[in-house]
Amino acid sequence: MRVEVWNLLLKLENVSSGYNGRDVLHSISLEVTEPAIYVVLGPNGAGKTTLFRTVAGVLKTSSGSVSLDGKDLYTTNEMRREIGYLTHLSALPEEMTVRAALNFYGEIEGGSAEKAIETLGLSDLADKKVSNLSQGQKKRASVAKLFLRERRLYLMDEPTSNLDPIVAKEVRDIILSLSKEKFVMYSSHNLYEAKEIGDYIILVRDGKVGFFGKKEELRTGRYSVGIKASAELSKILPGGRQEKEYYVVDVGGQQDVGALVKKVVDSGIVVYEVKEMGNPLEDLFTEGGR
Amino acid sequence: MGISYVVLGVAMGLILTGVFNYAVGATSGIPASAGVGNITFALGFLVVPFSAMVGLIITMPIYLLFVADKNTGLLEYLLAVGMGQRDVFWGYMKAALGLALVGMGPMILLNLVLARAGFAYAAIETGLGLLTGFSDVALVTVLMTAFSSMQRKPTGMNSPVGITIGIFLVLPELFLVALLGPEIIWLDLALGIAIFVCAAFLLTSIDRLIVREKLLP
Repeated sequence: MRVEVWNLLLKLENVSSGYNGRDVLHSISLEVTEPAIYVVLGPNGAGKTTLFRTVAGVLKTSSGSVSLDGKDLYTTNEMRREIGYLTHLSALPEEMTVRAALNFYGEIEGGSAEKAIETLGLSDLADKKVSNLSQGQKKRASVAKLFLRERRLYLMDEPTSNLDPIVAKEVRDIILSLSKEKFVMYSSHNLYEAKEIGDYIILVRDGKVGFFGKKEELRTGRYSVGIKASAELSKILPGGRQEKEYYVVDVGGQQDVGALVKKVVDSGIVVYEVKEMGNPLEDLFTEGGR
Repeated sequence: MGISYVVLGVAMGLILTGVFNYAVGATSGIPASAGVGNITFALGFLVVPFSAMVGLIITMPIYLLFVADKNTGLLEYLLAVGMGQRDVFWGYMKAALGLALVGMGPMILLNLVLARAGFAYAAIETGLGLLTGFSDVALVTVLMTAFSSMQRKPTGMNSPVGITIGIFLVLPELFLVALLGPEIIWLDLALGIAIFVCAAFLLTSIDRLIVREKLLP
């Protein structure tokens, strides 16, 4: 099966932008040339949404330039048609049905609502009012806007936030399928999700890019959990260390804590407290990834 | 909610127009020397301020919709697909003027048909009613979208203020009808032109009034 790879050069050169005359992004330079998943990580207020809005053309730069294939993004709408932008809100008219809302956007930017409904499997929701949808259903309907027509670059601002695990997985699967041929940039607070499906990591801190590279190059600490229990834990959980009243163990992530505690409880020891002692995401946001 | 406003506005306009014209007919026997001016003539001109009021009431959902669309991120998405703030604004303005026509049109037509004070006066009332009504709606729409673009409340908290400003502008036409008598036509004309000029001036300043980043949630 022939896979068509879409070439693209997204270039940000010394880009600063922000709100009310105050810059949130400071002299950011980036080049994106390969179809892949680029995960933009950063703490709240780092500038992730501002970065997406700037690339999408929603915000104009106060300095620097954003170009696609050498053409300035703000001069014409030609390049902006290549971008699909998913905001962190639904951006759907609440009083319309899903089908009517997609038709509305189809009339504005071109494309087929029926194609989008079929691609996202929204037939069961198509005739429901947006205001009557659950959070997860709204997100799926919102994602459908991106599939009205073909694009080369997809910008998704926190596409999996506030979603239950099943819907979050559906959205991640969509991102993965897109990335085979297209360029996908999405933002997240979830380092584990980023490392699971991302190809490149863009770490944004205080409006600057702290790290941009392949995920394998990103150095992070481990997740440390401290357990206060009724007995000594070193035999049950070897490799840990005692820090004051807590026995501290390094694990892969939050998802491993449950199994750890179960192991202690199953051995007949009473667990008084479980405490997060170190979070690599916090370290990443404060120290950077190198 | 939207259809209720339309029905209410059209019904109100038709009823008011019927009442004015009935009053014109009922007072046609009162001589001008009775000390109340030419009340017959003046009552017919009440259609001018009331057409503006009907227009404002019927367009209120547009202002609420603007704030709701801002807070759901819809306006942000429109900016992302290449629309400018001017394009976004004109979409809502066209909707407001269209709705105003739905409200004002039937009452002005009825006024022309009934024409209790004579067709010539009815024609003048029609012209002044359309001038004042559309200008008032346009002015209030500019003011409210400019103010609302700075609001974060999910409901248009400034809608009552906007409607109040619009109604305040035409209040002199209501209260001075009986005092001015035939001269009311000049007040109506002056106010209509003044509101039109204000609206036109603000419309030329849209890009400064509605800042792009204020359309974001």
